Amino acid sequence: MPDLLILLFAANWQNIDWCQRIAHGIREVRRSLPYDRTFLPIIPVLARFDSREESDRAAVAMDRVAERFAPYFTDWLPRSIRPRDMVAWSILPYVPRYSFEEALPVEDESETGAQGLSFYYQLLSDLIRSHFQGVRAILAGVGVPGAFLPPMLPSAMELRAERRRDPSAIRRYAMPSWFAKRKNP
Amino acid sequence: MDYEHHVFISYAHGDLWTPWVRDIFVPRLRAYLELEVGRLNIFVSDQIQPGSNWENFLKRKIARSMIMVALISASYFTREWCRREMAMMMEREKYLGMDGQGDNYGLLIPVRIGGGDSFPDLISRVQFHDFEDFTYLGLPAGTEIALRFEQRLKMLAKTVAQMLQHVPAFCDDWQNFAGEDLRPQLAPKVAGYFNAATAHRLIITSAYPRVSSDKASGSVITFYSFKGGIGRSMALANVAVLLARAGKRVLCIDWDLEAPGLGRYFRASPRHAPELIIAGPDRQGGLLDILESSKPDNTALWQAYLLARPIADGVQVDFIGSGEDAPDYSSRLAEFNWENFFAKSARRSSYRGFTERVESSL
Repeated sequence: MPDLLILLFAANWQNIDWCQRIAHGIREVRRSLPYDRTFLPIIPVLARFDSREESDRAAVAMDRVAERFAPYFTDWLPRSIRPRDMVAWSILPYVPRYSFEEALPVEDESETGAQGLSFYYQLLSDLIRSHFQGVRAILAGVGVPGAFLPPMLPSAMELRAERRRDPSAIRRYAMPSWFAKRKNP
Repeated sequence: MDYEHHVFISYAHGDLWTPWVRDIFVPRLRAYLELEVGRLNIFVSDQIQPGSNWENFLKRKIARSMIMVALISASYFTREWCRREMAMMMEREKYLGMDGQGDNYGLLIPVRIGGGDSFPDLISRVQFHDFEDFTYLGLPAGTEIALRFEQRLKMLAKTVAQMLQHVPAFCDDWQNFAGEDLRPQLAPKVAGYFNAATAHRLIITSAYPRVSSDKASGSVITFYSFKGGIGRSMALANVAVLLARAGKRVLCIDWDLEAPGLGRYFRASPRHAPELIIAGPDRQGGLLDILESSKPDNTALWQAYLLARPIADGVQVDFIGSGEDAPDYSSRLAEFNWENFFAKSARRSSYRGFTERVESSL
């Protein structure tokens, strides 16, 4: 029986609904077993996530996931980091290159110089390895979105509010440059 | 003679609870208690090393403690000493007429740290302080759960402080309480049962890489997804490689028997240099063969199906496949009787015994 559960799901409702039910169910079942087990932390991972196009819908999907899985994030995520932000960092993006054969991007990408999936795998493995000690440091370590990151989209509402407050804050989402340069409404 | 300790903490020692109790629970409880009552002396039952006279030593320690906080997990009532520790305190409560008088008046506080609802009626007379959601070592500072833990501790400390006020004066007689084993009073449900159906659901749809850590027994990490095709196996394989590179010993087991495929990530593809080809026994087979065997918790059997995928110099990921390469795999899987398997392992050594043997033997 696991000490840590990595819960992977795609952004559609059948995945989200069922994974939520199962996460809840696993904890209940575990509670009812008359054996010693410690608490089971869960890392929800939004997998096969494609935000290259339809980025507004991608943002809505992330909102949805954050809302549904917030209780599981709060078990290990520092309170100053919102589950919504963590959802954006714990995704596994869809990379068409790897849909053709089984491959290990963590080996492959270092050869090809590409950097995509392995960044997210690295972050996930760092979280696993940390036993949730120093999560903030781990997240701060990757906190500056580089050119290799796909867009980190906040919800449209948040984006508006945040831009009003501090136009430069937009940079932390690695928005396309044309978006960041747009004038404030 | 007088009291020596304010609080006696009783729990089932072992790899699972000792680090949590010592490093997290006791120091934090002490901090909150000292806010309530000032400096105090806490005795934790694991401070006693089994030796020539430990029975008497333990009895004396309990007799000279004002109250007892019993950290109850599923294994608590399976340990004779835990049962007797609790029995001694209950005997004293009875002697003083302090039993069954409500939460803040008594000498024994049950705190639940695991095991859910599997406890005997004996204990259900009082309300538990529930700490089940806070029992992981990682309980990280600054999180929502840590905040709830602190609140719960504060409440517990208040109760303990209140109880300390009602504690009667010390009496030498208490050392003479026998601490009769509670076993005959325990309801049968605590004797151990296993629900095959639920466990089956828990394990077979997931795939585990086992990651050994500082903990002696390692950690089991399950990658689960409700539907296929979203990259679960790929995530597992890649994370396993990264963990191995970071110096962990990693074993991946393909528990997705119905749709296996994890092995494909570790097999050599034409791109790979010859030194990256999997090393291991030439035989076919894997997890299904292990489960089918009459002794699935046999260490040698597991090792026979162990493959090693080199990652870099001196770094490898160990791997046990489903056994899918055997031509009759599908029909054997279809015929495999899970109910029977779990019933058998429950009879022999319990299913948990089985997984723990696997964890410790690899």
